[in-house]
Amino acid sequence: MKQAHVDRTRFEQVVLPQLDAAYNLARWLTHSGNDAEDVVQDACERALRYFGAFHGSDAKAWFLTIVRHACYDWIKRNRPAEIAPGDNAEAIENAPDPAGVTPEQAAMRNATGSALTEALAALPPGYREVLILRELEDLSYKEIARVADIPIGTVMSRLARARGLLQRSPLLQAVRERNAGRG
Amino acid sequence: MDCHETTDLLQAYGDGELDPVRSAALERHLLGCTECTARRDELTALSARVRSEVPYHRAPQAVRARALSALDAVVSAETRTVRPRERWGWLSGGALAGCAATVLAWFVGTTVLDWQAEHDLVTEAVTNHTRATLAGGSIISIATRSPPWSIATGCTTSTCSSGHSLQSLRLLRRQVSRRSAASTWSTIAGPGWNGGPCRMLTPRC
Repeated sequence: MKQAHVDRTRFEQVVLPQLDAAYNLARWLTHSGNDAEDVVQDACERALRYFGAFHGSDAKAWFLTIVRHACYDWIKRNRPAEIAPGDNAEAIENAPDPAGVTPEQAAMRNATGSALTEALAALPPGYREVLILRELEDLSYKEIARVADIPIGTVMSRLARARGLLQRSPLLQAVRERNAGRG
Repeated sequence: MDCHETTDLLQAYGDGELDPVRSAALERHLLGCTECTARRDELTALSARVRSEVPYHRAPQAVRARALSALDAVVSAETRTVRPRERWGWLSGGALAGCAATVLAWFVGTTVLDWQAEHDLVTEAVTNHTRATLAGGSIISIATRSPPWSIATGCTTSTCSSGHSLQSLRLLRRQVSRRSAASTWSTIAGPGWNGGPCRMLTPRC
């Protein structure tokens, strides 16, 4: 494939400031720091390939779209069981919560010790990503729609579902009951 | 706005995505509805908890370093591939300029030579005409060049002083070159020429 000419300074201005957001999204989708590093590296290489086609001003949404694709490609290659077949909207809506907890998830639990973090990590990726993009990256519905490649209406329904799942999460319920027992 | 409608809009309201008109209507409803207000507070609290408790993973230095090295790799690869192309670009540009210069030189050269030839032809014709005038007025045939430049010309002594204008002779030459030798007579003896001070190739010359 023909390599588009890359303006080094422009790339540094457009992509490098998004590395935190990219790594955060990759980390939340892969549950692993090392894997997130590989994914962001892959995303940077893709961004370099497609940089000539980027003319817009919304650099964050543009780069996060690439990061998200790199994430799902990586998961498909390494943990295909985590992705619902077809990877379409319906499949994500109906995806069951992953029953098993990966070693990375366990490590993250030990590191943070937060029931909310655990509950968020346990959400299906389709819900987890919209919540991360909304609450941690503070993206608008429109930007989330672009990054996740879904209509704005789907962004709203997934956010509502993700928040509902989080509020009713057994992990949070257990904490509430424990706290109530102590009280 | 009722509770059912409010439930659908509470999330967008909390996320700051609701337009001002519906936001105002929703706020009016919240003032008089404790259930919807409680739901709004739950959503606000959850959002605040996620933002404060859930870790934001900042990119380690290694990520930045790897991104920069990927950028360096692409930029240096481009430098390697683009430079020879630029060199060829200069070469082809030079070749193009050379061709243009050659064409220009050829064009200027042939124009000058052509002008020179014409000038010589006219000069010769004028000289011959003058000679004819001085010789006494009968038809003088001037063979200036081999065909198609053979021009037969002459004039009557009574009507022509020596020296046809160059313009007339140029016109004559063009006519000769365009037409066949057979039609030259009628062309030259046409009304335009007969009407002037010089009558060329007429029987009375």
